[in-house]
Amino acid sequence: MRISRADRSRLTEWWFTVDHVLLAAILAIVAAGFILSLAASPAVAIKKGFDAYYFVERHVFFTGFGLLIMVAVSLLSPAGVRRLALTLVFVSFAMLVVVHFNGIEINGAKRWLSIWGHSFQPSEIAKPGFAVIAAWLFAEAQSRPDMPAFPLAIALLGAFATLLIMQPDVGQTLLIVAVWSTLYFASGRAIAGAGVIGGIALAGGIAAYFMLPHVQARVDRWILNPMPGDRSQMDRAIQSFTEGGFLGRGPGEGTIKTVLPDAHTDFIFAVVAEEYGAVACLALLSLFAFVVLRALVQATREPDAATRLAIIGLGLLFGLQALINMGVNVGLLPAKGMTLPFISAGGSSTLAVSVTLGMLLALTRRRPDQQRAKKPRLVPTIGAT
Amino acid sequence: MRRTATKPRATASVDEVSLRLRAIAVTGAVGLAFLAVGGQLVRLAAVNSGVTLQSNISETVAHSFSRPDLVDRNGRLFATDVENPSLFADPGVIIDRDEVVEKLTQVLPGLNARELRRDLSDRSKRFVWIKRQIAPNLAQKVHDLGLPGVSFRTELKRAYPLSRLAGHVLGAVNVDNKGVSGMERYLDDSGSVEAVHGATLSERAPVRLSIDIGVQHSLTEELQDATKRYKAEAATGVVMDVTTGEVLASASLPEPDPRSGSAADTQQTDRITGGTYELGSIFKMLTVAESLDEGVSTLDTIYDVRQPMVEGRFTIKDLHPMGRPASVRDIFLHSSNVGAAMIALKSGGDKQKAFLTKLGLLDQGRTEAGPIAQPQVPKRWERIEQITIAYGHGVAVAPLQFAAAAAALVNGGELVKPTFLRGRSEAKKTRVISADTSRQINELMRLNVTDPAGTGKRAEVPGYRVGGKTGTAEMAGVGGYEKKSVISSFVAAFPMEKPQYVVMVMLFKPQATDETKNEITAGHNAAPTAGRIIARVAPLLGVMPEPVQAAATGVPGQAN
Repeated sequence: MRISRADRSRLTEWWFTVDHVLLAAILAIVAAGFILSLAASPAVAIKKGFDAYYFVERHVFFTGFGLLIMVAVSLLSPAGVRRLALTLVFVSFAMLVVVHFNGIEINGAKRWLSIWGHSFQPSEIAKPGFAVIAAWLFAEAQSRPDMPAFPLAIALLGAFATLLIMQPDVGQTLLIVAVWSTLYFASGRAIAGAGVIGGIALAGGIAAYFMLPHVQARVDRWILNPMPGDRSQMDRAIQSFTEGGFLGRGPGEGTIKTVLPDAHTDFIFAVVAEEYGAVACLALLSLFAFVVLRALVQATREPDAATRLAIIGLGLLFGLQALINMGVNVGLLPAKGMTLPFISAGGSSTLAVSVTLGMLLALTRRRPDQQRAKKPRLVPTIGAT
Repeated sequence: MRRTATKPRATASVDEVSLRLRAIAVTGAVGLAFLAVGGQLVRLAAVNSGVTLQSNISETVAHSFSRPDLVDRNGRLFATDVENPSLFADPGVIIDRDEVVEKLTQVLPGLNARELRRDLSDRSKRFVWIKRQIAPNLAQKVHDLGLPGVSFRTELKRAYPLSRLAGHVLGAVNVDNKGVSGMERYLDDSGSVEAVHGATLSERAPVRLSIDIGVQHSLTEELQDATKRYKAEAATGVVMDVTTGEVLASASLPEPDPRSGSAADTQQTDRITGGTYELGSIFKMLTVAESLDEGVSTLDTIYDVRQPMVEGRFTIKDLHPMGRPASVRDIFLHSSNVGAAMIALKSGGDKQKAFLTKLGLLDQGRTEAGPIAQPQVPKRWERIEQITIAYGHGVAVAPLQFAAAAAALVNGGELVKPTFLRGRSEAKKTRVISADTSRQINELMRLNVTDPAGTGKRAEVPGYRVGGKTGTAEMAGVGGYEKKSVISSFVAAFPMEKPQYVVMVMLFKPQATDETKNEITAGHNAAPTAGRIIARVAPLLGVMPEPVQAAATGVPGQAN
């Protein structure tokens, strides 16, 4: 297919406006995910009684499907992104309510819905919608004081956080609170308010610590670190970092993947460290950092407040998820089931990450500066600009 | 920062800058978080050291030990590590389990097909040993089968090029190449052995034993010959340097094979260090030495040995009564029990006990290869014990300990500690008897071989000035001593004008044969065996022979 600027179809327009460097970095992460899935998941699949390449096939299928979704979403205009986000918020919040009554319970948490034989995690798909809508509300709160946008933003956070805590899913709650707070800060609201939010977050964290036993246990194990071996999974993970050294033991030479039950999801970073060494880990880390930082730097140049905040929110969502996963793996954070985007196996998470990055690509596309264009007269409207 | 509805444009430009600053702050914070994770990555990778490798995860992999070589006193090889293939399987990768079992059992008939099938059926296991340390040609055959999931890991295996030679001293290693007994165990205990992955040969210097391969070989061969010749149940012998206590050879037949692991068979225990025996008349050396050293007797002191000695319900008799009063010299030469008892009684029990203690015969000894068997000492030390101990009954000691005591008596009177390592003897010497007493003991031992009436005359080796003492101890059996079951021993030293080496030979339950003139006493079996050993080892040890004509005053032609 020849792409010409004379061609004004949607796809060619997309190709000439999309951030190629960002797209290339994302595709590099996807490629790394294919290779590392081959490294980590056959051992787990054999252990769980599946065919050796069961997880590899799933990973390739979901990621391929996810890439299509990502490109499709990135075709949208900023207004289209907001419409999609609003739809996602409504649909996924409704599903989160259903989960509470009709969900599959795994390890004491009701997080999954069964759809056509596949388990599906609505909270994953809610996150990008939440980030975009929260960003829009904060922008509206600044530019249109006549709208009750800020109370709506608080209500949005309150509703989502409540639904997540009911599952319970403390990690995701912390993630969305962090994204929401950063948006609050970046939208230009009073610093004093940030102190109040911080206080509430702290109180919530302490409440979670005392009211949810598994949170207490994990934090205790992380902070107190009483006996070596007591943190079992995490100690094994950290050991694989020290054993791998800088260059690793070599592909296929790892032992941790046969030991850890979550080697293909939450602890895939440790598998990479053991087999390919810290150098490969740093390369992977740099790829993630590059995607996040490039998006954030793009955000600082974005004149439109709603779009800028949405980019920050989506970038943070993606970046924090990667950071938390890697932080847990290297022992900087307490144990928390968070997947590494596009690297770990997991259907819902891959689709959610695809939507997140699709929106990010859509919002970072080059557009004419709205503020320099002749502005229409300010009339009260609902929804997107 | 808060905008008001009345002035939307006025604060816009200030807002722009501050908003941009806030976005940069967020970007910077996220960048720092990534840096923190990266820093931790580098920190963990830099920690990488062998120590963590060996803990937890790799425990099952690191099961191999790299050992330094063992060499004899002249640097000739006794034991070394060789790389050897071991066969293992990854059940998760095996495609056709039945094919694997069938083909492997064809090539390796020793495999248990049922156990193998069971081991391979658990596909969650990723590592199963099939057979460790197999011969390289068999490994090649298995390799040629081309079975997926069946593979080799090179391991270290201890090799003993001299097979059973000095097996007791060397000890044994287990399948992980870890020492379990003897000097192999010593290597582990002294920290010369390293835990390794796979097959990493030790880079440490070889450990030099005191054993001389030539002497060890001669001793072993002569003992084998003696067990056949005298139909003995077992035989032991030790050759020791009298000044350093270095053991040049130590053999206990039947010998174990170091390759077979532990010597579980009691017949194969090392009688030199692992068993205690009532040694009989060779103890008279000690009785006489004590009496001479204390000045209680001289060589010419006369004792009346015409009548058997009656003590309580026991009667002590001589095998060949002299029928006349005898000097200490005669008592030694004729090995008179009555005489030895009288000599001991004249000194008294306290002196006797103190003397044996001084020689270390009443306390447990120790060599590098581990503890020597604990001596059996009577609880009471009354008159009857004094009498029996005088001729070697009532106290049971390990042969190695007695050899060390004999070395002290002949070397000029200084105590030695038996050792299996070359050049490790202690510089500080403890005197146990005077040099003069030692000289007199040497004179008696030499006389016992040269005198036609001496019990040790069949040990003579022309030119090598052998001296020695015989001992025929009745073995303790059910309800008393068995007349026909004896331990016949001979403790010899040479060359007698200044002894360098002690040779001790023990034959267990020798039978009467034509060669021994239907006798089972030591003079007819242990003494000639010791002579034959000395005839072979003396040249190896660099002892210069005297011209034979000059020495031919004794009984010639005993050594063949």
